[in-house]
Amino acid sequence: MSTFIAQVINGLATGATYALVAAGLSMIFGVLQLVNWAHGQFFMAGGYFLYLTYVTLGWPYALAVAGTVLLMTAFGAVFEIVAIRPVIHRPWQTQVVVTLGASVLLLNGAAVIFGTFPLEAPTSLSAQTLTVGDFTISWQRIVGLMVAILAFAALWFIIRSTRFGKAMRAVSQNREACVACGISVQWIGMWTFALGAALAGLAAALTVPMENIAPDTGFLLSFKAFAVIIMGGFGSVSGVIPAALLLGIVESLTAQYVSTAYVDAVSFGIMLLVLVLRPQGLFGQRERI
Amino acid sequence: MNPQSRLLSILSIVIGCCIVLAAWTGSRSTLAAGNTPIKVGLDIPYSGSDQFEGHHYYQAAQLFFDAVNKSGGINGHPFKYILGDNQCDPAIGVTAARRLITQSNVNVLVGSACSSVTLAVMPLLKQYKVPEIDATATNPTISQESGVGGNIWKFRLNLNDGLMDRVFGKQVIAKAAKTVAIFAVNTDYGRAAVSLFTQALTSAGSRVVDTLYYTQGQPDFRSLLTKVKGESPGAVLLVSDYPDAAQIILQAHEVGLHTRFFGRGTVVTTDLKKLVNNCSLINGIQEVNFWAPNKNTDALDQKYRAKFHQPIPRDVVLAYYAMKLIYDAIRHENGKFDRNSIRLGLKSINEYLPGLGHIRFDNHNQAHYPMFITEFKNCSVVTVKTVPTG
Repeated sequence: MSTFIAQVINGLATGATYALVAAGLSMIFGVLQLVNWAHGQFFMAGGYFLYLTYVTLGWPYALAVAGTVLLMTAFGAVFEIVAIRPVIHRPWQTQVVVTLGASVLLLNGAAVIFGTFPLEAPTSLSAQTLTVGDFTISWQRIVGLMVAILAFAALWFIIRSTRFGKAMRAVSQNREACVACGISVQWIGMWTFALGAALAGLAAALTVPMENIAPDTGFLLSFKAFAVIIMGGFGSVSGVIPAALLLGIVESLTAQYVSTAYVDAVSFGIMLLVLVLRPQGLFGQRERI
Repeated sequence: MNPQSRLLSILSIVIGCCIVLAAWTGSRSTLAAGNTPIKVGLDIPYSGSDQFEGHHYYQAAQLFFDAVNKSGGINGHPFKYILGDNQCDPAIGVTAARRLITQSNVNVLVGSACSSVTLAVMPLLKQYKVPEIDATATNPTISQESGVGGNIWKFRLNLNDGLMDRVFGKQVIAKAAKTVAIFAVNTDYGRAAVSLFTQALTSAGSRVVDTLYYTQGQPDFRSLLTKVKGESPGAVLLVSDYPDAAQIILQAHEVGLHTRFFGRGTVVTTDLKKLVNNCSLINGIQEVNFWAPNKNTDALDQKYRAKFHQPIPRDVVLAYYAMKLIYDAIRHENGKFDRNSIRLGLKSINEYLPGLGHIRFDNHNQAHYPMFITEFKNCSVVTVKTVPTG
């Protein structure tokens, strides 16, 4: 039983990272109707920003996390202006090529700038652990989970209660009506990208102290994020969070009770089942965002 | 055209150029002038989860061919090395190798570095009659199918798992632990090594309590390690390269799995030490490998440090020597560098490579020299034993 509980907690920790990345991806799709294939590389960029602020510049960890989130916000806004805005009214094929191209560019750019050797940014909490019975978890992981919960609450508040969040929801529901009402769709699109990038940056800043950062970091994660948003309902942030946590737990329990070789197969198998049986997603709803 | 449309067009062109630039990294080549160049295709993972290995091959090419070209190449023919990024993915690897062979018209290939890609590319070598020499792929099937095995165009300098794993499993791991859990990357390299180690350990009286396959580059191993912790193995064997192995060792500490580790890949290396950065977690780890730092490669190490400012990694040494063998093969064939002459030259190789030993390819085009059993002692990589491979 203790192993089961340990695996559920492991799954929740993994799922929290999936959720932070997938929430941004889902928001971008909901508002801009665009699939951002470079989102995994946003996570990677966030990891390098944390490395630069925390290790290279020597900022305190909390400040480095805040700095990473701010830098990623700016990164997301610039990315939208440079790469997305020119093609937002083009056919979806063009958008796919641009975001895929951008992902390759970011990946290769990181390899050129930082090299291919993984970099590490452990905090003082990374090696300190909390043991309860048979279960042991790093304090860094606990801090990561707590901050992720706070971030989800803040995201929920932004989407539900702020003018920006209401405008985002409005744009995701009826773009043309928003234009007619005087809402700046372009401005909302840019800030949605910025918020999505900030969430990916936060996910990276919380997990990189436990894991290394390399140019291909985020590559596998982006596929998991796609599985999550399909399971949660494309464009539905409220569906993404439970879907991500569920996926994390399913992966942990598959590793424990089925086979470690089938973890990815089970994840993507569930995604396919959801696509076939419930295309609107497990937590899909009429209203997006 | 209004200003907005013009701006959009310019931005589209810039983005398009960026994409082309990114794609170009997959077909980068060095410049060469004068006589017909000797074209060497680098069939390596320059991007993807195994990119560190591809970059090591590329560094070896810079170190070896640039120096040879400075001294005039062979009879005035410079070497031109052309990159084909296989991403350690068999499907992409076949396309990249085909492009090197049919479009770049390379005379010889170096690679494919990853076992899965190597096995996928081997039929192409036979079809187009182009020699390739590998320096790191360890799946034993590669040698079984090479030379008298049917594919006369494939050569391998590094030792393979068939030569190393049985010895290490029986003589080292089984003596240290009665129960073993194996973590292995889910590729042809990992699966072949697991099969060999399982046989070796079982025949020596040890029991493999679990085999855990993972995806290369996977960041989170805690659920796998929690499972293993419940099985309380006497030892954990990592069939891994250092980025994954470092994560596993650090996260094993996190979940409270305290056991002895063994390696088969690039575990007992200075690269892993840098990533784990905690001597108490790595001291005592043993590994079998086809190269370990030793005095005989000090000169090469100095050359590497002068250019890249770090100690020379295993893959650079092996790739450098593979390229040297190509150079020697062409010289042996009196400077002829057509594909068949290079193959014949490689067959005739009979020379000493410092740090490895006497190199000659057997009838399966596999080189033999002693394997290295290494260990982290006081946070340093120490060779504890060398074992002949026949």
